[in-house]
Amino acid sequence: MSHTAVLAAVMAVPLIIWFGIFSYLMLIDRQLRSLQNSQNNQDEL
Amino acid sequence: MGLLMTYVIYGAFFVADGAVGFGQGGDKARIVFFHVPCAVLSSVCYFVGMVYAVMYLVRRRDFASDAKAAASMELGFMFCILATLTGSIFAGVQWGSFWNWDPRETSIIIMLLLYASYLVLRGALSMQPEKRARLSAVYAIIALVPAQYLIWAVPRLLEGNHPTQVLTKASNTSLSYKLVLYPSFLAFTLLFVWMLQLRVRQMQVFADHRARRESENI
Repeated sequence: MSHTAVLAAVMAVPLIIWFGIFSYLMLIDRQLRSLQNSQNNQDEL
Repeated sequence: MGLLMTYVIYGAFFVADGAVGFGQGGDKARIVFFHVPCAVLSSVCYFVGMVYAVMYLVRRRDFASDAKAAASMELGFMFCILATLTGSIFAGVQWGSFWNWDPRETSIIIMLLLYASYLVLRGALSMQPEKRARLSAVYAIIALVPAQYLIWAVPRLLEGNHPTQVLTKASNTSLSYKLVLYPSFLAFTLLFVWMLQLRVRQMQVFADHRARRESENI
């Protein structure tokens, strides 16, 4: 296995972890926004 | 921010040259791009948490300041754990042992205990929100002195294995290193800010929900 291939294989680990964390945070952000909107709508009613 | 962190991960392996003086052509030191920002952020988070704690004590019953202080401390604890883990991996491959009781390793363990004590204190007083906010704010201010001493003074007073000169001496850091390390600091700081505001918003939604339920019961 060449040096570049080894580096690419190791890089894949933090990259996959980062995509997982980023997607999860985006999901939380969206859900929080919808919760805040529903709370605001209830306050208005 | 997502793209910036992706660049940092790519750059750590394919933009930065291997660090001089480390094993395997400097490949072992590539973890520095993740370890150092986490370690720096763990102390920044403590300072941010302390500032919000002071703001809580100055403006009494300010829920937002207490929530920001608590969220900052939680994130500081997380970054502290990440710094310890990445540092331990580096120590394992570079020095042959995952733990060497180096001054920085010892001080980060005490720093973890300081953070954990804060979180345990808040957990123990979860049924008394005002007392929890007041006591944890006082704790954050008092513990700032040992925290800053451990982070900044101890590693400079005692000799250790840590290769601090790699980053502090201009001649040791090439342009390719700076092109990854500085964006890495920025990416991790933005991640901290994003996670902080998410946690504060989550606390706010939870508090509003509880207040609404209590008013419905009355």
